[in-house]
Amino acid sequence: MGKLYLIGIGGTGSRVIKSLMMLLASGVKLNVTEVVVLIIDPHRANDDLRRTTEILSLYRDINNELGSDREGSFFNTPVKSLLGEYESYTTQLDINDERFKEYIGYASMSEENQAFTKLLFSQKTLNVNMNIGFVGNPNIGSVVMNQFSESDAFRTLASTFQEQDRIFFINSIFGGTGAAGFPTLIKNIRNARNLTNIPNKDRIANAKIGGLTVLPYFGVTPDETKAINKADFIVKTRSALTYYNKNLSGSRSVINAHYTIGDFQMPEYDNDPGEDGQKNDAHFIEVSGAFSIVHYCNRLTDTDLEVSDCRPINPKFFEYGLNEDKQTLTFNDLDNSQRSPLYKAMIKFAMGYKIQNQYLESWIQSNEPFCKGEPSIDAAFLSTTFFQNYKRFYQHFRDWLDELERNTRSFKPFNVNSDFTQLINGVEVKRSRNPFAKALSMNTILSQLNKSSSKGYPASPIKLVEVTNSSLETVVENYFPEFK
Amino acid sequence: MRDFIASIYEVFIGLYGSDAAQHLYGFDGSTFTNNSLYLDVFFSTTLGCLVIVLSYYIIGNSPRWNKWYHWLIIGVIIFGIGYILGNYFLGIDVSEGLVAEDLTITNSDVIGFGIASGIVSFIEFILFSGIILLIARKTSLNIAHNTKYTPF
Repeated sequence: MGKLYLIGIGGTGSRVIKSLMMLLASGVKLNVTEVVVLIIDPHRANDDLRRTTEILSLYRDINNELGSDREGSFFNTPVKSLLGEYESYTTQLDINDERFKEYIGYASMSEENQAFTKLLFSQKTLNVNMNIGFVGNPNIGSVVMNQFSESDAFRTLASTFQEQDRIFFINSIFGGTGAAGFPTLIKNIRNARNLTNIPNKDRIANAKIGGLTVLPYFGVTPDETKAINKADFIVKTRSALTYYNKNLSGSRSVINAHYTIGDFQMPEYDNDPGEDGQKNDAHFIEVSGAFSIVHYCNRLTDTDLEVSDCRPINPKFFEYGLNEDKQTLTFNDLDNSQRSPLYKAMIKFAMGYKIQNQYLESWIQSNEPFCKGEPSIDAAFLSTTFFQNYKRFYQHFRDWLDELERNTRSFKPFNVNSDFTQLINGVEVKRSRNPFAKALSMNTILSQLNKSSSKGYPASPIKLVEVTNSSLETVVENYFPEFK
Repeated sequence: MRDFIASIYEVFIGLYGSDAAQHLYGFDGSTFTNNSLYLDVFFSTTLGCLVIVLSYYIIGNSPRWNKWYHWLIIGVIIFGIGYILGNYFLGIDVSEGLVAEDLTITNSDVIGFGIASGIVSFIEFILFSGIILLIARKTSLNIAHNTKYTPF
């Protein structure tokens, strides 16, 4: 398979991409050569967007230093921006700090057109300032998102897209940006043959396209002064699903693989769509959304996703479900067919977090054996840009885990504050029959790091990450064999 | 072999004197027999040192015991064992009257030989450590991964 073009729309798009980045940092393998990311969100000051782009930048810098020929290892899959190597991962489209009525040129319309416009949009909708997004108005989004077909981002997508590449969209169905953006963007792609100034029209119009649509899984606190109202979520969802059913799927399907997920348990977040607004805690829905991307890349073959004359031959539909309705989820509650290697990768990365957070700096200061030899990992390494990025990324990982745990429909796969034997929630460490076998402890981990450092590495950052990854691979196999 | 081993200990002959040295070499009053305490002491302390060194570097191989001062503690133990064995072998002969009448061996000579034996054991400890470190660092045998940089 070739590249994966991953397009996140709106806040939910950002948050699912954030979860995917945690999986990729853990070493979860995608059957792609690289992931090319674009986030479409007109809400410039969206905190979720800011956090995701920071994580993307950190990942990029770490991956650039380590390279991508370390299959199954941390930070291996290259992730780049569609807009360029060190360009932003986001596009706000061509939206200035203006109201919707200014965007559509209401003031310069004839009287008849103004009257017709008022039939379609309320006064409140016309006065929405779009610098904070479409605030739950997909009817605005469906107008604005059409400009994507004339954007540099779309032209870049079309010009770089190869036959073996795939596209995947992430959107929510109960907001404004994602609900409208998803069908509009797919329509633009499938209709590429009829557009001007688009390179590779035929190829992009016949692209393999997947998408994740997230149904309501959180609400906002009621506030009559705010544009977003939780009570509208279900109504909007129903309307959007009706539209999707007619125009995206069924006999006229334009999408190859459509994933949906939602939760009737909806935690309430602060109703703050303005500057610095929308900073939601990570939610299990977003994690399972990231799982769907892994499924799309790894489980669906090119034959499963064939397209003919801009129409998928055999469109597929997937819905995520839990076996049991539980308030706190662990690995034991998830699909066992995915038991490895996805969960194993996350476990290794969580152990890596504990090592980095509690022991690594003191081990480097005391010059443990894995730090010696060429290349060495010495005290000066602690002040390198790579190590600072590595630490910051792990802090984001910890924040992500904490948010998942405290959310409603908690996901708590790890007891991060406990020792290694209790790290995996609900899973006991394997007891060996060998009386001389060493119990799992900080010293066992250190011993494994020392053992794994015997081969040579080209540079200190690679040595640190590879030694950590390979030693934790052995630790998980020896002490938690169910995740082998 | 006896001459070679004797020459090692007799670097420290000043600690235990020539009379003790003759007895250790095997002098029975009229001739030098084949039974040399130098050999007994050497092989027993060398074997003990080797067992301890292998236990420390390879069998134990613990990340909790890989600092230079841990190594030094092991060295002190080996010195102690060398001292005890040297003191014991010579001391038994002195206390049971097995020393030739021409030779005078005092308690301080016995203690001095114990110290010499301890020093020789410690030198063996350094040599064995060096050999194991060389093998651990330069070959593909993945041994002593926690201790292969101890003490240097």
